[in-house]
Parts: sequence; C-alpha cells; structure tokens
Amino acid sequence: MIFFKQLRGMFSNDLSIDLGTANTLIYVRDQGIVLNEPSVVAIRQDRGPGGPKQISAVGMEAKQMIGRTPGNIVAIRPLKDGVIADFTVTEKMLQHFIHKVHENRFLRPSPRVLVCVPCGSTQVERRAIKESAAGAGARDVFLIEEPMAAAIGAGMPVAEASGSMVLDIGGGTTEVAVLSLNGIVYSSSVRIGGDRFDEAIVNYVRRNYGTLIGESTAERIKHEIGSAFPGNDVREIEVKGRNLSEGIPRSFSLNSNEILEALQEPLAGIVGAVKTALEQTPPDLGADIAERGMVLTGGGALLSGLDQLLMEETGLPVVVAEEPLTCVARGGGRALEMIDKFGGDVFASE
Amino acid sequence: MSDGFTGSIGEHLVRAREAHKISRAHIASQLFLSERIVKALEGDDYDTLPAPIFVCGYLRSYARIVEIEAEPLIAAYNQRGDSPPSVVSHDANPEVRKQHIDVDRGWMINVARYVAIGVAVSVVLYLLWAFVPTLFSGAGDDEQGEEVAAGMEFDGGGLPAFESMPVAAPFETPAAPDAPPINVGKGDKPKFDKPAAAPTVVDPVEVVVEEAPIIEVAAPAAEAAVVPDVPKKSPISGPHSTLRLKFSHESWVEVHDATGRRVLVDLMREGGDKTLYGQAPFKLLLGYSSGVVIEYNGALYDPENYKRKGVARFSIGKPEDNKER
Repeated sequence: MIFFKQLRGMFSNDLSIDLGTANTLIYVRDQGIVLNEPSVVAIRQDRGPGGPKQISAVGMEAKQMIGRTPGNIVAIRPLKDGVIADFTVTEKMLQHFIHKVHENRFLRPSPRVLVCVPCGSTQVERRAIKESAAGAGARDVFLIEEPMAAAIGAGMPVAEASGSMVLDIGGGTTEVAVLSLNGIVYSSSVRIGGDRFDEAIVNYVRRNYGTLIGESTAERIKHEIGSAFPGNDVREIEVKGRNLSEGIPRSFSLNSNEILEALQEPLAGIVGAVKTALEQTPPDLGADIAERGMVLTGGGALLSGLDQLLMEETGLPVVVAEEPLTCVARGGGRALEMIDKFGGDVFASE
Repeated sequence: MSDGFTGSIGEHLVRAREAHKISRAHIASQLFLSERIVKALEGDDYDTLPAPIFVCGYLRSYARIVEIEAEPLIAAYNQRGDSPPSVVSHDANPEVRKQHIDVDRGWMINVARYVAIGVAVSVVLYLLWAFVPTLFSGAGDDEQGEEVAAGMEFDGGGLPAFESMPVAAPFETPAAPDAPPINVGKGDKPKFDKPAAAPTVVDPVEVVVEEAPIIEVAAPAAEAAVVPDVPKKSPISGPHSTLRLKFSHESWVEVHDATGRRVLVDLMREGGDKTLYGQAPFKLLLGYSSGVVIEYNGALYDPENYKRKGVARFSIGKPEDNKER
C-alpha cells in the first residue's frame, strides 16, 4: 500500500495549500499558484432531510450559489474563523481541489502537501486539518503557521537576526507575528477578518437604511468602495436589498465614508492586536520593526487605506506586500521547496 | 530608464517632491521613516535600504504623497540588474501561467513518465500471466481453451501455462521409454522433470474433450511429428466411466475422480458441454446445479436430493448408485 502511495507520489506535485476561510489557494512546486477558488461547497440533499447528500459544486461555482439556493441545495463554507467547521465537507473540498490541479493525470494523485494553519489554532484544530488533507489523498502532510508562510511569501528576510513584523488579514482571522531567525518570536491571532467586515457592512445597512443585504452584496460593497482611512475622493455604489418595513427589494446608494464608519469596530480590533503585539515584542526586535516597518499580507491588506490607518495608529512604516492574497500560499510553497535543503525548521508542530 | 519617467528613480522622486514644494523631512514624517532612508531612496542608494519588499512599499507610499504613478517606479526598481527578481510572477491569470509552464517543462519528463508507467504495467501483466494463469487461459471458453492446450509447448517457460489447464490428467500418461518423464503428483500442480536437451513437445495431457472422446483430438498431427517416440494409444488404462455435463446456465464446477485427482475445476458458461473420463466414483460440486444436465455412462442423473440453495455436492458412480440403476 505504501509502495503504491509512493508510486503515485512520483506522478504528483508537491502542493502548498492556503486553506483559508474565504479562499483556498494552491501553489504547486515549480509552477506557482495554480488554483485560487472560494472555500465554498454546495451540497445537494434530495429526498428529504434524511436523504443522501452529494457534492453539487465546489469553489467559484458554489460561491455563486450562496444565498440563491433552492431547498434541497445548501452552499456552505466548511471553514470558519480559519479552522475547520465541517470536517467531511472540508475533506471533500480538498479532494476536489487536489484532483483539479492534477487533472491531466490518470493515476490518483498522492502529493506531499503543506497546509497553512492559523497560529492561534488549537492542537485539535491542527489535527483536523492534517487528517483532512491526508483523507483527501496527501502522502505526507506538513503544517506551517500562516504568519511564517506569509512572511516568506512576501519576501521578508525571516532568516536574518532582525525583527520582522507581519500582519496577515485573512477571511476569518488576522494573524500578527514577529519573526526572527526562521522562528516566531511572538504571534497572536484574532478572529477578525474579511468576514467580519462583511457582517459589519450588513449590520450597518440594516441599522441605517432598514434594509437587508446578503453576504455577497456586502462583499461586493467592501471590494468596490471599502475604505479604512478617510481619503480625498468619496466613491459611491448602488446596491439593492430587501426593505425590512416594506418587505420589497429597494435600491439605494452607499458611499465610502459610510463603509469606513461601518468598519470601525473590526478595524479597531485589528489595530488593537497590532498594538498588543508591539507591546509584547522584545525591545531590540521592536527597534528593527520601527526602522523598517511592518508588512501587510492577506486579502484584508487590499482594503483601501488600511496601511495608512495602521501608520497613523502605530507611528510605524507600513508596507503592503505585492499580491498580498497569494503570499501565504507562495510562502508555503517556498518552504516546501526548502524541505530538502534545510529540513523542517520552519514547520509548525501539530 | 522606464516608461513614464526619465532619469533614475531617485531623480524622479526628487523632481516630484520639489514640484509639490515638500521637504524631505516632511516626506519622512509622513512615511514614518527616518530621513536617512528617504535620502537613500532619493539617492538610489539601495545597498543601505532593507529588503526589496520594503523598498517597493516605500516607493509606493512616497509616490502616493507626491501624487505620481507608483507602478513605473516599482517596475524600474525590479528591473535593476542587482535587484533580485520580484517575488511574484506578473502573469495574472493562473490558468494561462499553468499552460505556459506545462509547455516549458518539456516533453522529456512526460516521455520518461509514460515509459515508466509502461514498464510498470508490463511487469504487472507478466506477474498476472505467471501467477494468475486462468485469466489468460480462456477459462469458460472451452473451444479456445482447448486450442491453446493443444498447441502448447513445454520448454520450461510454458510450465505455468500448463498449470493453467483446467483439468489435470486423470489417466496414466502415455510416455515413451526415452521421452521425458512426466510426474503427475497428487497435488493440483503437475511437475515436469525435463532434461536440458532441446525442448520437446509433449502431448498436452488433455482429457477434457468436447463431444469427442479421446486425447487424439487434442493432439494435432504436427505435434505428433515433433515427438515421434511417443506412442499414440488410449491413455485410459483402467476401469473408467464417462461423465457428461451439459450447461444450460453458467455454473461453477469441481469434479474429482476416485483417486482424488481434480478432473475439472472451472466456471462453465451457458451452452458448455464437457465429457469427462475417469475412475468412478466422481465427486461433484455444482455451483448452480439446476442449470446442469448430468449424464453418467449415458444415463441421466438427477442431483435433486443434494441441492442446498442451488449448490449441489454429491458423488456419482458409487456401487450403490449403480445398483439403483
């Protein structure tokens, strides 16, 4: 059995998977990012509540179904706050993605897989992720903490004897870490991320406009006019939602200042986490960070003005990584490439 | 140096800053950087600056303050000869990138892979042929099986194929004095002691014949010519009985003769017809007895009393059976 697994492994690529709450990214060794799809699975259950369940769609196709499904289909996100909320569905989703990146192969793939985990995840949560990847066909499963992968992917000098601070804002969690000499000196994880931004927008619109909007609409608003820092230009967007008092869909417009106001609470949580990290950082490393600044990665880094907000709040230089969305997956991939050279120094224990 | 501006990156920054009448100290305070770093940026002194990711970030923030496009600056910075390549690929579409890479990886790797797979499949097929011979002996396909058996040549490598024959010899095998001795043991697999001389074709000791009684059917004349020393005579030397099985339905069959030798073990297809010779009594196991018509020495035999859920185990040709008849 092991022989066959190894044989299949010869025909499989090593993968680095950023199993995120919002998106799953797969980096293939020597190839780059080959998959970037929402972590959403649509499940069809025919013949009533006790009927057999089957996967109807995964990824982008399933995401388009969120909030638009009939009774027998449910589109779910199997990860919540950066960790697995539904083990079986996560396993199926991973299996689908692993097969998708090996679609030209006729042997069932059995790759070595590196999965990025939030640094605040518990032992049980890490074990669940490991088991899930193994169940999806992985030959070996390695874990790496997300801030470490993000820093490597962003190109930060993590191997040097100087402090580097990274802030990775994902869909479910925000990770802040101080790294030096390939290790994590301080890390913390707060369960605030892109999803909380969406929720905040939904709540704001309900409170101020008496209108209910869906998750996907809130996400679109965030992408188009979301802002973390007051700017000179005010952008507007036309949205439609169900008016709570009339019960009829109505159209209205929102501007970026309103969204800035809506996002104040989750943003305050992130700023608080950064300030706490700076307080906890040893002074010498703190000095290095003050000299060079911190790096923002993750989808949250794309929120307009977030770097300016953090600069104002902390008084430190803040830099947004290139292609922040893919930093974690790329960093994981680079760590995977380093396994053979340097061993598993950078990997997280279970 | 690059699209969008002339001169070095630092010169472009200085020109933009001076156009806005902003001091270097003001820029440094806006970026929360030390003036030394801003001076190094403006002087293109990248050796004193931190890692490229930070420099790109500083350039972007600086450009935002002096209201110029940041991307040409970053592109120019990444194109510098001494600068490490950008940490990211600029091919935005992952699918397109994957196709590029697939092409670039070269056909050699793919050819090597397919050759390796081919070798592995060949090895597996050989092992199957060697150790699971019934898969290749046309089990259930009687005519084809007999053709294979008739043309079989034993030269050492053919031994497994001989084992694949569904029936072992229930008779004394005819052998010339100088012919290689064929020792058929009590086990299921007959053993052949063969001299190292030129391979000799031996009559396959085929007793399963279809609607034709005897072994000559299975021994073509051509082979007889190859082994002129083997006398052709009936292999049946003792008292024997004839058992004929006709199959109106697919059924598993096991037949052992009085000496305990396995006369027939096979999955018989619908429409099959087997005539067996051997010393009575025969022990039979029929997987689907309702689909089998049994004739023993020309007389029909009904195994009704021995049926258990369609499977029948019984002996035929015992003295008491003969009395009944």
